[in-house]
Amino acid sequence: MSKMSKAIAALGVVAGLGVAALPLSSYAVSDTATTTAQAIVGDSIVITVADANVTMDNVMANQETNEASTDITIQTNNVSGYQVQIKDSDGETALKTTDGSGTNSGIAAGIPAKGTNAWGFKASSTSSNVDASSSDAYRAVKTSNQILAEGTAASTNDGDKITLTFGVTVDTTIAAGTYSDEVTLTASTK
Amino acid sequence: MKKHYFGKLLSVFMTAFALAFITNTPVAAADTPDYRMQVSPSFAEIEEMQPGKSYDGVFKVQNTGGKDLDYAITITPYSVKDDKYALDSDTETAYTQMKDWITLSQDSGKLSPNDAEEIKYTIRVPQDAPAGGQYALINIRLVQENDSNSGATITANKQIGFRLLGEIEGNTRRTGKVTEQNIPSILFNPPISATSVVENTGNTHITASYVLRVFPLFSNEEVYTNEDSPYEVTVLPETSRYNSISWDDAPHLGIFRVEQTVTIADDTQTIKKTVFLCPIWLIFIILLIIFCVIFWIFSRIKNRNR
Repeated sequence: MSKMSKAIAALGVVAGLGVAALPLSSYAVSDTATTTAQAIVGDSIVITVADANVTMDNVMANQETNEASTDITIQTNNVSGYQVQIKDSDGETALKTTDGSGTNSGIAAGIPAKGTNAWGFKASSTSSNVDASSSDAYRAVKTSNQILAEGTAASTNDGDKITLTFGVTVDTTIAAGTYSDEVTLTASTK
Repeated sequence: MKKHYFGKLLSVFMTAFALAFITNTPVAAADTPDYRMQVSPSFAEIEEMQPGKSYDGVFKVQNTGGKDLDYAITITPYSVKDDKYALDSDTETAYTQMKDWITLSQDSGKLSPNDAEEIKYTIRVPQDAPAGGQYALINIRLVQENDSNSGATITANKQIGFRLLGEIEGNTRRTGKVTEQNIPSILFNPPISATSVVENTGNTHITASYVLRVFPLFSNEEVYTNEDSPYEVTVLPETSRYNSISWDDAPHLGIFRVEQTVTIADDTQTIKKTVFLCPIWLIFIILLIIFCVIFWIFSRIKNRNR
């Protein structure tokens, strides 16, 4: 076999192996191209609490509404949004004396106004996603749920901040003392 | 001498650098609130449940706050009392029997920051369970200590409601209708919005979907639509649900053709209206100009007659 023939034979083997390998390589490339990455993201809801207790200090008779606030932050990726509801935690909606020094009947739930015995709540939010219009003005807490605020879509990344404000007014029939009550806020997706 | 100054300068620089780190620490810590609780998923839907069988599911409670978190779990009925869908977790109805069929793997827990716990729930459907929807709310309440304060103190307990939507197979009816639609014709401020009320006349929950489309007055090119991802809400059986959908980024001035399409079960209804969006101060100025022009014309006529 001449040198030329050996070279041609070697090239033939290389070419043959190359042709044989080509479809495999092409197949491998094609396989990689059709791989799909998939992530299934579930929905969730997060509630952040600023203060458990909201205290209206130095409440004096026949004065303007004494107010105190707390923030509730809701984060959710639920595209339909969420609702935050408020109700009294037990069957008694009045602010009751806790140390025995105050008036037994307590301060009734109602719309606070100068010269009356009443406490109520209202809410506001600076987030455009939040509709707190139903809680613009003071309302009385009830034993059943009332809508405090609604998120009309998924929250912003940092969450939708809702400011819950309680207000109280008393007249001179309410004795000095400490009065309290508990409310329950429930956040759920729509 | 120069070396001495350089050393002092270096030590001042190093101190400032260290202080910057120290003062930065509380800022970073402040990003994580003390008490933050996450529940995922936020609801579960179990269809085609059969009487006499059991169904399991899980949800996760996670402490994403900076302090230890105690929680307690209760199960209440899940129903609503008006078309705004104010929650009614006290009244038991034919559709809230599921509350009594659920058992939980635990009804309280304590989580350290970044810890999570999976809560398993089991629904044992009784043999005589009626066909149709069944609903319950699993409430995960954040337990916090109550400080004793002077004055008037209100303790705000916070909880997340995990909605459990079930359906017992059998004679289920998925029927509903659109009962009301409205688009206001004159708006003084954005957004452009449309409202509607739908009614679920069946015996199981169904989804209502809402599409809002906004066109300029003399063009068919949409300036806003949510057609690709319609807004959807669940409507419980034998209830009506009010909804408002809006284009929040609408301009402050313009005349648009607005369309709302609401679909529930087999009923699809569309309302179309021309909406005039104009700030009230501009309307006032336009009216003032019109008044001035009329006054000017009358004055001219009066002067000519003289």
